Amino acid sequence: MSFLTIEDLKIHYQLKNSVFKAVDGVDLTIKEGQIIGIVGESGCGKSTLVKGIMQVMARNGFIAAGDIKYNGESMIKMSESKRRAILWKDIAMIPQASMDSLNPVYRVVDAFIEVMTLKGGKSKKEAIVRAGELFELVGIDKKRLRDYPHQFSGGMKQRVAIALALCLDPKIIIADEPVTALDVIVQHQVLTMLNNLRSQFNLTVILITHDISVVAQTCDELAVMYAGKIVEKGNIRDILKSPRHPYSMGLSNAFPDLLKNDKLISINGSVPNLALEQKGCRFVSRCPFSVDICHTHEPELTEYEEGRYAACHRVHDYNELQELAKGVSVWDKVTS
Amino acid sequence: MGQSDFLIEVEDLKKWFYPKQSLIGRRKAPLRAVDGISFSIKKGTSIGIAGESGCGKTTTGKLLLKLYDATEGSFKFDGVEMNSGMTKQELKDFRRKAQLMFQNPYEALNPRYTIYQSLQEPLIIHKYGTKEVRRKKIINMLEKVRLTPVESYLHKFPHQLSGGQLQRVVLARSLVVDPLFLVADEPVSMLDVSVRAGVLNLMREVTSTMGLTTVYISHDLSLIKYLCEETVIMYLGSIVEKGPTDKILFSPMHPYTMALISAVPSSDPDVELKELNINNSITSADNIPDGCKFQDRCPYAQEICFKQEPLLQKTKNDHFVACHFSEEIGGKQYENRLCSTRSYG
Repeated sequence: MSFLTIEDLKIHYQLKNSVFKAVDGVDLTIKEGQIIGIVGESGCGKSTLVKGIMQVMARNGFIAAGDIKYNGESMIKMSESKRRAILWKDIAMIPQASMDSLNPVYRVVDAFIEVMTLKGGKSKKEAIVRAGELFELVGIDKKRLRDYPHQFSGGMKQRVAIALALCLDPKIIIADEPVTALDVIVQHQVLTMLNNLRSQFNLTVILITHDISVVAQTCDELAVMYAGKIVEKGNIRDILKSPRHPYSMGLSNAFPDLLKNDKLISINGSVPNLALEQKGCRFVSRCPFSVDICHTHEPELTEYEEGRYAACHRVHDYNELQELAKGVSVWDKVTS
Repeated sequence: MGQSDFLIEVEDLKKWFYPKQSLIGRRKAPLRAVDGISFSIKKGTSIGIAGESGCGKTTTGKLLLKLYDATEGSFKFDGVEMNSGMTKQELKDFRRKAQLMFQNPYEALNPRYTIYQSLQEPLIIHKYGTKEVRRKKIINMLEKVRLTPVESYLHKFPHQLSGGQLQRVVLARSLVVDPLFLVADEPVSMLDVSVRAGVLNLMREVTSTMGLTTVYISHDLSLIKYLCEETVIMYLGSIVEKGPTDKILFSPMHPYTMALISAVPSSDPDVELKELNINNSITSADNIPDGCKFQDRCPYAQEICFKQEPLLQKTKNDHFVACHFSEEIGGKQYENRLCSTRSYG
């Protein structure tokens, strides 16, 4: 059952003389109880996408087209008050750099009380009890509820932010870079916790990250974003084992792995300026496999196998491209 | 100069920070950031220092560059003792030979200096040649870090470059004075994934062609594996394990190293996320218990661990470990991460 659908969503930012198309036509279906990962480098629109779902973009941002449907109902057309009722209760967010998202002059318990009394209609007493339960769930001692944010370590603050997102039993959690800037051991704990919560409460998680190894062991589905569009999506195992889009192939080359000895290869060049009109494939300037058509026609995201989507003109040559993509010289051909 | 094989020799080095004392009340215990570490680095090799945040790895890096004066212990650079009795000239000479590469390239460069000015600054400070010679040197250095065509970069400002290019400039600036020794503190953690690999490859190549001795500080073991021949694992200011990188990563002897390794996520979706067998909380460095520092997180801790601190001892193949039970623990068939695969459905 799909209960959050994003249909051809476009989120643009109004700049002085131009429009910056941060998210430019994204389709995504999220099923209940699933962990879906969205990966891509900075500036590819992944944070804007989730801000769009929550509708908390920067002031110059607006939804230019498309729709977000929650249980079949459009979240864009619904009234402000109705949307507010859904947010946090049904859809909660763990913000990026959540260690800085707690108010330094309030005790952490106050944040819990505020959310639960204002949104959840609970009394202060109930809220404190619930906060205590959540603290135990995320593995922090209840006694520390009355501490201030600066008394916690980075990993603990991250867990507080997760507990805060959970406090009204949401159905969907959107986690924007939840483990970036954390140590490996804490990162491991946070990921394990997300995994456990999913299996306990049938939680749906949207996990935004730039780190493939973070999604590899937690997610079921993966969407790879590049320059405001999804270039590949499908089952995580399929994508990581046999990527079909050259950008996904490049990304998996660029990662150091403890178990692999391959030489790392970077993707030269940078993301195109999204304020300009895009012609042809957005990845063409960095793609070592481009052919003539790539410069003139933008490839559509097409389902070429059941449940597997990719936006590339040469998607059927994947066997050959995967082989070629392993060579360093192939990627060096593209001038930086 | 240059009599010994080792560029860096560190013996029982300590750095304690004393908290501000209040007028009344008890003397507070010092924060033992680095608490007696010993290691040496052979000329032209690279060593990685890994550990959690707060384990003292950055402090160690700063001690090696004399940005901090050690509280105790000896630190020899190229066979010469680096103590507080150095003259100004000696110190300046050392500053040229030992360079630091910063973590965040966006903040490491002066935004009002062009790339040329940024690279020229260290050369002026160390009174290197004439203007013409300096210019040649800078162009040569930028070519080495592959910022080509050089002419198009020389007069750009930092905000005009991408993160990967900036980190190349930062690397070039560290190397332009021909140092012998480089400390790189989390060199790529601020960079985008797609360009990380390029910077890492470049560092590997440039340091080996220039014959540099390098220290990489990172919490990312996969990065250390990629760059370093030797690895040092630190925990709360002490070295718990050191040795050749392959030995450390594939046959670790210390329970902390094992936990650290199994916490590293893999990009292989078939590898299962394993439960860690260590306790969550990190002991604070201002309240270190007697005995082994790792005692309260260690799943194998026994009576002796609470009483006596284990010393760093050599096992075999230059592999050192500080654990009372390293033989048994290391001997226990170390569970290879490859063995457990993730189940779907």
